[in-house]
Amino acid sequence: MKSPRSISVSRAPDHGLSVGSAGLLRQRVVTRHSVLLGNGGYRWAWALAPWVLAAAAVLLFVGHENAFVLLITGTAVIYAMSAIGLTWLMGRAGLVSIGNGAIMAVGAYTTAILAPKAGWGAFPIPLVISGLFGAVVGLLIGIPALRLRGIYLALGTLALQYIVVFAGSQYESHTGDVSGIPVAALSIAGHEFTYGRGFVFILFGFLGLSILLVRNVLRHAPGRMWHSIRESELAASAVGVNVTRWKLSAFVGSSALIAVSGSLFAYYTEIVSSEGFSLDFAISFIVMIIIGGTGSIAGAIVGAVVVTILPHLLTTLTNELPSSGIGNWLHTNVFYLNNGLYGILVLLFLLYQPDGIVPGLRRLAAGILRRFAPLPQVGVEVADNPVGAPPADTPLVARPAVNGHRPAHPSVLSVENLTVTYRTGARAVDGVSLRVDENSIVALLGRNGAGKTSTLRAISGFMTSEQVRLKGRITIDGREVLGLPPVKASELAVLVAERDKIFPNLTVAEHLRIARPRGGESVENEEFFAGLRSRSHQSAGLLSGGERQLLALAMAWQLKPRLLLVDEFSLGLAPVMIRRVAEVIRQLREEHGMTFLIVEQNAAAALDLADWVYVLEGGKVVAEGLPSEIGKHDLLLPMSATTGP
Amino acid sequence: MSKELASIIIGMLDLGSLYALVGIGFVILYRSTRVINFAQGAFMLLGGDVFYTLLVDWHLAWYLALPISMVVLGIIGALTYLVFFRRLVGADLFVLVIATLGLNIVIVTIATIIWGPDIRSLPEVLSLKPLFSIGNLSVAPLDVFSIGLAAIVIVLLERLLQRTRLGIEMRAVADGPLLAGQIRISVHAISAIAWGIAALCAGAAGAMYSLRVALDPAGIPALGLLAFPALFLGGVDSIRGALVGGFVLALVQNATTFYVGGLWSDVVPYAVLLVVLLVRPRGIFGSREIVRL
Repeated sequence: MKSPRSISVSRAPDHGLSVGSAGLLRQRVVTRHSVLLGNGGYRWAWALAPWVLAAAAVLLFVGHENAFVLLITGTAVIYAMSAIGLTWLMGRAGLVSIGNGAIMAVGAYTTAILAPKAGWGAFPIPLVISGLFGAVVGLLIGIPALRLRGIYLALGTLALQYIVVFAGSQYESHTGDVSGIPVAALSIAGHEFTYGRGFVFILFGFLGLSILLVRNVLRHAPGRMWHSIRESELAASAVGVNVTRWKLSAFVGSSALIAVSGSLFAYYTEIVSSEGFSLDFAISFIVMIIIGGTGSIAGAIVGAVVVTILPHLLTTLTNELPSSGIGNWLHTNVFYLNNGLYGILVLLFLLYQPDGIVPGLRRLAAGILRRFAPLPQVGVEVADNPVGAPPADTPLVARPAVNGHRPAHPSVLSVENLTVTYRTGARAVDGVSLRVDENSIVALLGRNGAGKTSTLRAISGFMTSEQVRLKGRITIDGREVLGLPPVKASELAVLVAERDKIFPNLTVAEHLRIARPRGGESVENEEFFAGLRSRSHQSAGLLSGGERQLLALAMAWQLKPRLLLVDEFSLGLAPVMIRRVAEVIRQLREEHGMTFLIVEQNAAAALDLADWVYVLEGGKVVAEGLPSEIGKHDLLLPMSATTGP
Repeated sequence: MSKELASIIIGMLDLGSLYALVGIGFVILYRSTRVINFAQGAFMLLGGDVFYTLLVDWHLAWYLALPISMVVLGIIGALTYLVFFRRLVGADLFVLVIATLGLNIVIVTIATIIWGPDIRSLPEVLSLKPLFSIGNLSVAPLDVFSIGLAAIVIVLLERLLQRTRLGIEMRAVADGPLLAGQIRISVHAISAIAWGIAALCAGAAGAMYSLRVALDPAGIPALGLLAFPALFLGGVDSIRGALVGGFVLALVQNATTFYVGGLWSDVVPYAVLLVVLLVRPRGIFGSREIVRL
């Protein structure tokens, strides 16, 4: 078995494939670019289409005769500005806020209070001061945001909502304007603007300015800073981003914009009332950015338009329907339905289209464009869909040579031609076949990223939310387990994971209690569990790495699976502990008849235990054999040299 | 004991037991699914509505109507999970928060369509007249019943969570949903039960409030939201915290009503919330890890 021929490990073709696919990918990007840049038509269409559409919309709505349509248009435009502010804060800087309504209220009240004052009331002054005041309030909520994140920040802004509205209603009762403070009509150079076309035109102007401003800010350095903070605050600060400064500036900037929209809202409706700035009002802005597509300016606008217009559309539709059956039902309930419409919308979107409208449309448009104007190269098409295309029919790795004789035993696990593809399109396992016999220990060796853990996970089951695609066959005792959820697969195979193998907040005794089938035996009297007996009432989070491993094995023992999968038991353990755990595994096999598939980077530990070894590389089995034969193999040298004890 | 103090104390006990009930449901849901549920107020409203239908339209006795409406709410809560939130397992915390906000709106809308938007009062099946007095502190049968019900539900749930296999499984799911699945715990079943318990508790609180004050389709969801300051004061993952936070907040609110004015009692909780978030975000009894949310 020492002849070089028997160690015919086919690594080269495998590398060839990975280089090939990367090359293809690069080629695709390049081609795409050259299509966009080189082909004038596409380039201009992509760049100009949104502007042309926007201009058409402006002309369509501003030109509309119906005063009601104009009124709604103006409202939608103001809401769009506010939603842009929110998407800046939430979508780009990742700071969750329910305080949008409160900041609009700050702008609206500032305007209502300043507008009648001589010397302060001339048009741009209240608007500008509202913006400044909004910025100050933004700074004030920004300061706690330096300490709070996620839900805590959201609740902080919820508190702001109630406090601002309360202050507003106190002010109203103080001045006696219980039903709201009237605001004088907007007047520029002696010309008064009320609801009509002129005002809507001005609003579109403001919206255009906000889009340009926010787009520029987000496209340049500040946008990148916020992006890095959203992705990981820790990493951002590690590369020198001043997190404090950029978080505060996101609050200040977006709040100023939102307050300006509140000021315009006050001018537009000519009345400011605390009733108008309810929590539902604030939530509707979050709904806008979610259904439009969080983080996108176009999404904020689309969302604002949908949320503003849909209730009116529903009302109109209801009036068209005959007043019987569903029409009748709608007639009586359309008012309540309209009040709750945005709640229904946001639930539907979160469940079925979590990206929102704009990214969804973008994908659709890209798809249509590809269909009607196929890109010039065939390779591009294939690479565009890297997960869908099956690998070339001719196998790149020939059946790996078997090193040593394996006696025939009844097999427990059989994996045939397994492929595992992650959501990102990465194929972690590519045509793996293997077999685990009754009462044996089989080891799966390989470097980081070789596909070992993915193989184990494919056997123990993925969660639906992980969106992993599986192909091939996996049977345990002849029963198909491929694609089963973890809870079903665990009837046959139990996984002791590399990291999360215990529940940190449960005590040792509680672990054993929930991992014990009704009527099943308790592990507590087993010899190998002795070390943990004294720690029964301690939280498992306080256990050492080795103790966690033993606890996980104890749970598995109680569950009595047909097959026990153990992922990297040696990771992070001291050599003496590795030997102890290996001892327990051997004991479980020999005295308790359990069957194991173990995954290791630490070749020495695994070779010592296993009856049969598979070597994985790049998602394929490149060698298999008896541990004594595989151990001679130079392939394993780098592994044992880097991570061996 | 002065008259004011007596009425503050009894008001605190009533309101506090209400907050505690809603809060316990919230904590159970949070501790097994990590969902921060903004729809507790909507479940309260639904509980009041179902209770109203059973009591007024079906002429059931209150002691039958109350447990039945609690069970109905439990089923509705479990269905909410199975229909909607099952699809969101593993989603970002933020997505879950928005989804519960949306759920809140949807439930309130449905309730308004079925039961109408008007404030309704329920028959006085449990008397508000004093049953006995300790000095100036006079206690009505309804007070005894509200506080007693809250106490029973809380003790039972605390025992469930700490002692029973189901309770341990619920905590296991909260700790690691994937690992729980890998040791044969049905994550979906456990989560549905947790949703059921959350809705059941909120429903009981809604029925109690409707009996005491009125069935107010706008006021009850707002009241449910007030359970948040109480919860965060106590610590969102602690049953003890939900209790203490509920009673402390109720005390603060009742005292505010008496010494400053009723208008202020709705905003004071949020001021308290802001202070808690700034000074001690994990609340009085919350565990350290929740601050990482």
